[in-house]
Amino acid sequence: MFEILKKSFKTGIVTDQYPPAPAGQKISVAPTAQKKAELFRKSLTIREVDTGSCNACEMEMNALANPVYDIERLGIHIAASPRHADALVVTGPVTVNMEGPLKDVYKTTPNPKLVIALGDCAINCGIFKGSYAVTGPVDQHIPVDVRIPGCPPRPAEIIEALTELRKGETTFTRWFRKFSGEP
Amino acid sequence: METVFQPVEHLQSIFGPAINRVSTDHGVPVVHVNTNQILPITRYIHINEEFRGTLSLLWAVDHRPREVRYELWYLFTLGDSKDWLIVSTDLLGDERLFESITPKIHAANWYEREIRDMFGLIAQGHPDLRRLVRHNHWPKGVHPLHKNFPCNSVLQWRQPPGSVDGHFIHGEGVFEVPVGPIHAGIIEPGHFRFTVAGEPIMHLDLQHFWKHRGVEKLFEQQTLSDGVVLAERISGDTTFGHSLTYCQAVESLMDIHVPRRARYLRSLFLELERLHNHIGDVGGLCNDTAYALAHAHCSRLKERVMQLNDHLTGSRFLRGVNCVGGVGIDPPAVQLSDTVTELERIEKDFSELEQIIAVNASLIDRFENTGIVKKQTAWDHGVVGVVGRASGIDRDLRRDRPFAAYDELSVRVAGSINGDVRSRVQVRMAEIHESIRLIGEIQRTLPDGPLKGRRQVVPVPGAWALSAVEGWRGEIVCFLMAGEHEGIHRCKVRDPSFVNWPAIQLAVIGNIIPDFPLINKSFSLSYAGNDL
Repeated sequence: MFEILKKSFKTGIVTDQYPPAPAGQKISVAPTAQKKAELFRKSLTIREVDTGSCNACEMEMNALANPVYDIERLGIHIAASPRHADALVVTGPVTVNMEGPLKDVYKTTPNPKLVIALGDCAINCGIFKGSYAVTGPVDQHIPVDVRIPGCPPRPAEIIEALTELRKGETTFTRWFRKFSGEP
Repeated sequence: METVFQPVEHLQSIFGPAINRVSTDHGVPVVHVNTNQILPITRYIHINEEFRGTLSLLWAVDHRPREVRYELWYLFTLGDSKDWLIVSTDLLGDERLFESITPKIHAANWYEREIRDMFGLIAQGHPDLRRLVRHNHWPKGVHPLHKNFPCNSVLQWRQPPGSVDGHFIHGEGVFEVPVGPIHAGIIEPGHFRFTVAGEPIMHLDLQHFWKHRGVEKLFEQQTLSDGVVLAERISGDTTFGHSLTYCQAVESLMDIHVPRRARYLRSLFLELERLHNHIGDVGGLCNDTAYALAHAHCSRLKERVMQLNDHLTGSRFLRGVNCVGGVGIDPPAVQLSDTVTELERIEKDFSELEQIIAVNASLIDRFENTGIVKKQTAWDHGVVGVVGRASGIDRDLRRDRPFAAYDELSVRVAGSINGDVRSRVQVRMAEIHESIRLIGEIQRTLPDGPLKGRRQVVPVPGAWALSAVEGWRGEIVCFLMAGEHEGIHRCKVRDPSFVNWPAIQLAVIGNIIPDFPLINKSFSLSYAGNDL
């Protein structure tokens, strides 16, 4: 017990101590996606689905939960079931064998929902383009709202994209803008 | 040189007429035998006291269009000397049948099923000829590694995708627990079917290859020097291990001499990769026993190592570091000494954590006697890497078949004999300390010099090379055969996961389902590397 306390005090707080995402690669999120994410501004629950990636994207998604990035502090949670999820994060090109499960997962996720394609493979099949076993990028099978490029994107970049996604206007800010006469 | 040829002479004295010819390529003896003699010869190599060969790789090559024949290759690692011995046989013309060796050598099970799916060659007498790679919805007669198969035609199926069949046990009180392919955590897809009666698991049926992306066929569309990028993406967590295996194969085909500095740097990066994965796994194991504190500390340390990777090479996964002939990145001396200082700090941090983990009774209670792989089982199934070493298989390519700079570094191989989850954790922990020590040694003795070697020869079509690297999971093996215009005729990659997955099926028997995540994590296998 004493050892654990000593270790904890020695370590201190490590959250948020990571190098920021490279400035040149700012990820822009479409306003339509921001509007769709309006409901999830304060709490977003994610379900990760791997449809054939090389598992680097999963490692970075896992890294998001570590004490350094700790995405729970931003109100982002990772659910164990698509039925609990607001957003699906899909990684990897869609393989012949995973196409069915991906469509099932999409069906079982309750509406309204977001789909985030994470990594180059999910966006355009990446290096696996042209293979007999790859049926196409994610948006060929289910509608995609947000694309986070990178091979794999760094955790800082993923956080930035998710923050950007939830920056959109809410009904209140829209109302406030309208009546305060701001452009 | 005589020691290399002794096993071949021994074989010749016993199976004289069955052996067509003997050749040596890159120091590996190849024995070409008649197809009908393959079972007695491989069996003899497997069980004879002097050979005690474990099957390390079994693959097929379609020689079309140059020659109308298939060739089957059986790679054995001999027991004591750890030397390689290849047995090969031809299937001429349209011959599709060969004798299965699985009834005698269990390790061949998945290889033979894979060959059937990818080439349409059928192993007669195989006890379990269900489809492995091709799921049930794939059309009949599709064999992607056939040279006649059009590489860019996306498969069309008739049944709805996702259907699988398994081996089931029926009886009163026996029920099934299906899991996957999409799991509860952030992990890759795979389907597990547990058969239980009461609490203990009676049988586990694995259905993998959900992520089959056709990597081996994609290789055939690359040139030898461009394949590195694809090799890096076989399994993301083993980026450096896979690219190193591939590069070494190309280098021996092109007869490139890799400069000493590049070899040292390769060892350095390989150890860095081992480090972040092992630390992550120790944390993951603690997490699976609901010990969140240790998990948080381990994932923090892992993050530090990955940031170190990013700082050194510009990639958290060490991507783009390897190239054919050497390495593409030359970290300055200051950065290297900073790395070593940081790693020493990480080691101190980790040692403190180890002491906390070591006295936690509930953790030890879950770890001990869980998921035992006995030495005999491990040997029968050719289990490699951390799992093998924890079960008493004393094999480590860094010591046995030195590559990169390991012939000049002294590697202390960790091992254990119990074969349970605790042994695997102990082996991992020992390897973490050893990796940090090795990186320190490399930094102190790093020689100066060029980073890339020049190519000497243009490989002729049909020339082949075999290379193996001890990745953090275990032995990664790559067979590469050159094609026309410096292309690739055949690239067979074997991630250690491919041999270790079947062993999980044996390790879980008698354990309870809640312990399965723990056993699975202690094996820590890749789905992507297995499914290819």
